[in-house]
Amino acid sequence: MNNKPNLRESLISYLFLAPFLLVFTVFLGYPMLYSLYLSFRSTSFSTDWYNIFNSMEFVGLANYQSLLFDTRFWWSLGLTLLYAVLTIPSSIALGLWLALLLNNKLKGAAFFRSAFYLPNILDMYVVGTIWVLILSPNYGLLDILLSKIGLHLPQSGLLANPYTALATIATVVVLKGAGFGMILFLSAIQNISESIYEAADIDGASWWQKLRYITLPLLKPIILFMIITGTMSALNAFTEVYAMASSKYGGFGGPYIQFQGESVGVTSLSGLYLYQLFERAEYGKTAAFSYLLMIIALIISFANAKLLKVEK
Amino acid sequence: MAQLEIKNLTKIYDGGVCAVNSACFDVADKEFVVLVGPSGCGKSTLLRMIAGLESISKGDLMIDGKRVNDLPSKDRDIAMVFQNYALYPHLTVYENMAFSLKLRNYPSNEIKTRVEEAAKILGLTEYLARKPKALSGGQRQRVAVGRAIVRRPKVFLFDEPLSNLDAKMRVQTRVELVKLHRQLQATMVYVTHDQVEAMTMADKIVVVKGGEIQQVAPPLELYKNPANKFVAGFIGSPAMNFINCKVAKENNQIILNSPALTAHLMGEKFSSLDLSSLPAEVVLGIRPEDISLANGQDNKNVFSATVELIEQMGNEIFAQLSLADKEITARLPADIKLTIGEKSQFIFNKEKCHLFDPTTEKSLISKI
Repeated sequence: MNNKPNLRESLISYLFLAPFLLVFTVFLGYPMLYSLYLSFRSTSFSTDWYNIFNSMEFVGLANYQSLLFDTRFWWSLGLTLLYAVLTIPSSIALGLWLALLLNNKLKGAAFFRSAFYLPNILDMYVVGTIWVLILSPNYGLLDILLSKIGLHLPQSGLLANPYTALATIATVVVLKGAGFGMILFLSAIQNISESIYEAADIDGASWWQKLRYITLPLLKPIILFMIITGTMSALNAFTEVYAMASSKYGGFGGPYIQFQGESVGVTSLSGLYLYQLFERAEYGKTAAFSYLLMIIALIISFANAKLLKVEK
Repeated sequence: MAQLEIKNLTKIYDGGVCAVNSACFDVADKEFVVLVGPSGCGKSTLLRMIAGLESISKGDLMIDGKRVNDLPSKDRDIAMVFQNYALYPHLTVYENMAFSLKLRNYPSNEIKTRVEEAAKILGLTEYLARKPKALSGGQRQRVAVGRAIVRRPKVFLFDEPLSNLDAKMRVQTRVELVKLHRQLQATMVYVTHDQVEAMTMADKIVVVKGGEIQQVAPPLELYKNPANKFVAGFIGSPAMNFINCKVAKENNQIILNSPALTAHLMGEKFSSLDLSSLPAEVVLGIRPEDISLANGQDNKNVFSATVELIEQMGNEIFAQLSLADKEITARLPADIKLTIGEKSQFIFNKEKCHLFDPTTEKSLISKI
């Protein structure tokens, strides 16, 4: 039997694919290729500032090279790594914990499921702004609640303190995203056959042993998915910093500290630094940075898949 | 191994639905007991209560004389094979079989010995490194059995373990399980809706309907002396034919009249029946294999019927016969000459027929 599709079948298939391919080409394919092109170019003295993109000069790997010697680049990468370490494991743990709680036959489980998921559909800027108000010293909700038990936030606030700013932003992001992880884990847990747990009961497994030896291994694909999407989110993190680490709290990407002789923001994550480079019209360097981030994301994703040994 | 006593075991779910009502029966040491009944009759619930997967609303469950109602599954020393096998999909065959021993902190060499021994018995040695998804249905079923064997439990429980297999594999695995029972000399409780499985495997069958136990007896006893119309109809394939008849008594003979046939019942089987206590109407039960061609016999139990359909089985035929207001099935030799649409004379073996009370559906013969 000949399984090769004929020309007519192929054309019909491509016709159905056309809307997606068109959108992909215009809004994803072209910008990706164009940013690769840009990453080898740079503005110079002769650049026509009314026609920047066309009159940028070819500089080879100079943009990549300059990034490798850029203290702020390495600082932002290190900070992003720290941010990923702060957000990813806690997002997974919190999502899993909520899912395990709501997997029980609780009264009002549907309400809690919706309530935990709701912040996830709100824009990060809105959530960030609300948290800025909650975390405000003196008049913020958290400070008011703490004052009831005789405690107070530091006068400078958590977001203006270099030691707490990034951790505070990470906490807000984890709380906002917990509902998403919860839904993923909950649906995966509910897909595990009840009889597997019954077999484990008969085999003599305790609650913890069932979680350790059955639930967690069967949730590996979800955990991997959350690590990969968490890594992407960390590499692209911008809005949360933009919303919460504004100039009022020590400057954009701040508060600032000294690192190897340079003043660097303790919330200046790679996504934010990328934005700052773009703002400074260093388009070539920005594009090169994007590609380096993409390579890092790919390496981390493949490493995770290997480490977690997810088969599908 | 162990013996099991089920005393008035009752399961009432929230909302008052009674799934099992006062079930009583014993399972002797090394006995193979099959719980059989139609879907939703409560047989699996009963098994799950024994396993500790369902709480017991009332009654007592005793294993080796010890009341285990409130013991969790892991402390009852039972093993269970599930309908869908319930293998751990992320573990290999070896790990699946070793799981319970690992949880009980057995030394690894002991685990290895037991798993390899079970794998040898079940012919799984070459599949130990595979994961369940790389196995056929029959192999998965054997892994599930192996997982139970390694534990060397007091009681083995099987919840319809063959129902996911194809017909050929089901017969093959059925035989393997019976052999395994003999080999292990284990106490086993097995749930099925398939009466053929029950008849071929059991030392003792427990027939369940609507959460109530209908009869507890060895297979042949159940077949020959069903306690009621349900058991009579459920056990045996094709099912027993039932004909409503009016009772007339004449010279110590019972004469049953129906538009379909007239039956004269006499002889040893009916001699001790108290005619005066017989209801005015009874249900006559005739197994398809107790009907044969009359071949010109001059007998009062000869009846005439039109052949509606012939199902060829190869070694025999199942003939659908149309009587006046009734269709019945006859199981006849394959070489018999019958023509669809033609009337023929048939006879039934009165010594093997059954009588049931139409109201209570209880057997009237077993009162003898």
